[in-house]
Amino acid sequence: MSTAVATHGAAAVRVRRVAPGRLLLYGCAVLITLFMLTPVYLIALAAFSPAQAIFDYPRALLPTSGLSLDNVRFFLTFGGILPALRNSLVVGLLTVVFSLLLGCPAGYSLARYWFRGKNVAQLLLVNVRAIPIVIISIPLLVTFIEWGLYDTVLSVALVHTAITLPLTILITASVFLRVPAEWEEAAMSLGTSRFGAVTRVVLPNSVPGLAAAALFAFVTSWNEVFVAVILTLRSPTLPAAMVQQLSDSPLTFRFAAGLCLTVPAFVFIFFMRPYLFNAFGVGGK
Amino acid sequence: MRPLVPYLLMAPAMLFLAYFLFWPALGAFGVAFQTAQGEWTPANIQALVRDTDFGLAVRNTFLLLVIIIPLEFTIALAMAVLAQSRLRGRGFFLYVWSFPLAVSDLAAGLVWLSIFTSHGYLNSALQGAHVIQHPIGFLNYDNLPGLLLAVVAAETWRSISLVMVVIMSGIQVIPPEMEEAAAILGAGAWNRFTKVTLPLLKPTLQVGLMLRTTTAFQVFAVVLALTGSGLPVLATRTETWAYAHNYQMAAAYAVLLLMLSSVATVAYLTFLRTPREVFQR
Amino acid sequence: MAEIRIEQISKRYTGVVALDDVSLMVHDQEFMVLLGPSGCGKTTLLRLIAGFEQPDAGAILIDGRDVTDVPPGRRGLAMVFQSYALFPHLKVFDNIAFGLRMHHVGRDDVRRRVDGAAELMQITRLLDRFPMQLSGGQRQRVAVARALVMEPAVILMDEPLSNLDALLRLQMRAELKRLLQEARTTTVYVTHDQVEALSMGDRTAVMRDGRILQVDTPMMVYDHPGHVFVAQFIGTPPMNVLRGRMGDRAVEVEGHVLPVGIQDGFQPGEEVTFGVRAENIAVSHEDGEGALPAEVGVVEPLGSHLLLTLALGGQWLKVATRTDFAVKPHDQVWLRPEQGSIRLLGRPEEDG
Repeated sequence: MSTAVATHGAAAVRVRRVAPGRLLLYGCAVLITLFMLTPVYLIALAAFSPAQAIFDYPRALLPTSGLSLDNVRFFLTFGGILPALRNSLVVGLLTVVFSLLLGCPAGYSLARYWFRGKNVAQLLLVNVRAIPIVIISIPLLVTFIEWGLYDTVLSVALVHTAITLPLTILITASVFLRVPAEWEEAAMSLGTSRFGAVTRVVLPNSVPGLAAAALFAFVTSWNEVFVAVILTLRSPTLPAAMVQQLSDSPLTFRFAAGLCLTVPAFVFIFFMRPYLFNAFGVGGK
Repeated sequence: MRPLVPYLLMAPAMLFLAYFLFWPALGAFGVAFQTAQGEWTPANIQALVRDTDFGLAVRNTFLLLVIIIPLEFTIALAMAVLAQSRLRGRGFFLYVWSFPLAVSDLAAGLVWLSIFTSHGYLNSALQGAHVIQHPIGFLNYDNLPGLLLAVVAAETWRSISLVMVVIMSGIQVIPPEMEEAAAILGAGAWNRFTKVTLPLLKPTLQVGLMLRTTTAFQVFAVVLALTGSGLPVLATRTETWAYAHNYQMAAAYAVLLLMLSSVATVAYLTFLRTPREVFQR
Repeated sequence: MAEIRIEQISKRYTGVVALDDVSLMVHDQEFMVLLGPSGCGKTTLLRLIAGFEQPDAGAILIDGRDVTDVPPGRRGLAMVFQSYALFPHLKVFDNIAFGLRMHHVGRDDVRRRVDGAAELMQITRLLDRFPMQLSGGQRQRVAVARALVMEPAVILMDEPLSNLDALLRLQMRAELKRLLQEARTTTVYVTHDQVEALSMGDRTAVMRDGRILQVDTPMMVYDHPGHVFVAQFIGTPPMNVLRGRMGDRAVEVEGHVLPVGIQDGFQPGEEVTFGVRAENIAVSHEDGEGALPAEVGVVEPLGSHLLLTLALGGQWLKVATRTDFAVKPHDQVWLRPEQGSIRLLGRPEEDG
């Protein structure tokens, strides 16, 4: 008495009708995407419009009056912008270096050791984001003036490091946790010191995660406005320089700035995608 | 020596943070409650309350908060749920929806400036569709609704990605069987969302709200870029006084900001508490 | 009538065929077990019946109604998940009441039915607790209560006992069987544990690689496997599978002839695979008519019997015998399979 029911005739291959519910979902997704992308399109349009188009009203919503690099060129060559760009780069790189130098040992400590006060330290690091940046900048401003560090890239980099350090520590801790402790022990049993094991085994295997931490620190620093404005005058970062120019600059200048400040975001996020969404199981674009 | 190793490893970072983060936070109180010569006085606080734009700054900050937070969380919830469902092109959607994570608030303000300025794209579109006859002065000094609208749009656009990522991380830890069990017990999509997903998201929402509220209190560059000085908020007042070298007033504003953030944080911790038995043995 | 008809269901995921033209009939009030190793498609099939996924081809009918396009909540099913899927933010009472409330059952009725289900599962004193405060066994009972309270026509179970420790599992097995018999619900039960399948099911569907190999009562599957895989999957130890050559109403193996019953479509001279259970072979130290000589390899005392591993020419087999049978490795013994206990399973080139 084996086997199952015999059915006559081939079973029809099912036609997958798209349920109306799914259409609604797609519609919402498309709407949200439009909301995110339309402003980018518009700022690009504004930045690449010929200079005279600023007087057009109503402005064309399509590039009918042709495209021009005038605005962007004006923005980039305007006195102070390129130096500010350079300052932003320097501040960003310094922030990355400081964050990693301080953050890696701390992250390693959290990943490998248990010690009294570890829970408190972790709690502290997670909750530090609650401290408004606004509140720390005033006393620091006073301090930096006393030290003669006011209006230097170093002062900005130091504060940026303070801002990004907590999360950098937590990220490096999770990166090091993923490298099995046995690998270090194996290396040490073969003759290296712990430090050697770390540099030869742990670090090489942590490069992608550390790169993500570095990228996060850089982007945070690159985009930071308030502290940069407070702490600088003549050597501003790019956002700080923009704030200084805001009220005096023509609209075309501001549009070009808007575009130049926004485009890098696409590049940054493109490289950060795997780290953002690894947990979500989404691969690639 | 050995037992000291973890402390030694943590020390540089913790000392750095103590000096550049914790100490200044306390120091701000010092600056706010002292005169320039170092004597303790409540005079700065009194001056704060009498500051021309004090009332406006507080009111505007609260208005922005009250509008932005619910709006962002509602849309971000929808985005997170959409991102979870098995839509085709999910990777593309997520990429586009998260690029604002790397956009500075200044850039966001400038981008939306092109839309809201009086000869900008919004007015152009409305005029082109003959909805209006003359451009609306959204960013006019005295047009509070217009100013709020512009700032809300720009801030939401810029920071909704962060809220979405936080919510997604919370949804990830909800086992899919929860929804399936609810479905087979007869719960439709709405009931599954409100009776299973949302309650289980409560801890995540609590964290997200605390984070977003704290940063929302500090809106700065978006407001500057869009409104100049037309919409005073707490952070812009702080910066103005610092620029004028009156660090006492600046610190007073900063302390006020911290106090308000803390009250909000405590409120979230209290009202969004999950009883211990629910998540622990 | 809550019978389930699965008609020519196919399901594939990217690159993998999960179910290949599967058909099955579960009778009203029958306890059907889907048994197989991981990856065989049993859970996929259960999920298709539940409605969490759609088949690529074929149809599912419950009670004569085509439910292939009906959402899970409206198929008249209840389900117990492997991880129990209890709602952690709700008390046990509210967990059990959840489905009733979704169906707009009145408050008093909810109270009455939940109390009834709790009593049935002996968890009345736990009603006020949260799932996280319960032990694994207690959570399992809540999960079953939550399903039974719906008084469903069909109940689906996805390896509900696999997360319990061995002792608890034994206990719950008997209890579940009794409960479901009394409730007279059609049950579809997924497991990879063949002991569970034999003990609980009215019939078992043995699955592998997306196909159903055999559907039969436990005794038939045990005694008359239709397939080498089934023979080796069911029973502890697995059925001995040997190769020989078909003769006239007999099988020739390693130079000896064993009489078998009906030919079953095998021609004399054909190579054939056949099986015989360890407990159906008598072993003795004396030669005799029709006995096969074998050399003892390993002797395993298992408490209730001895399990011998023996070499029969170039093939190995296991034989179970009394604990007082005096034997040691390298002994020469003689084997006598019981009359009628040899099963022809197939041809060697067909399968492994």
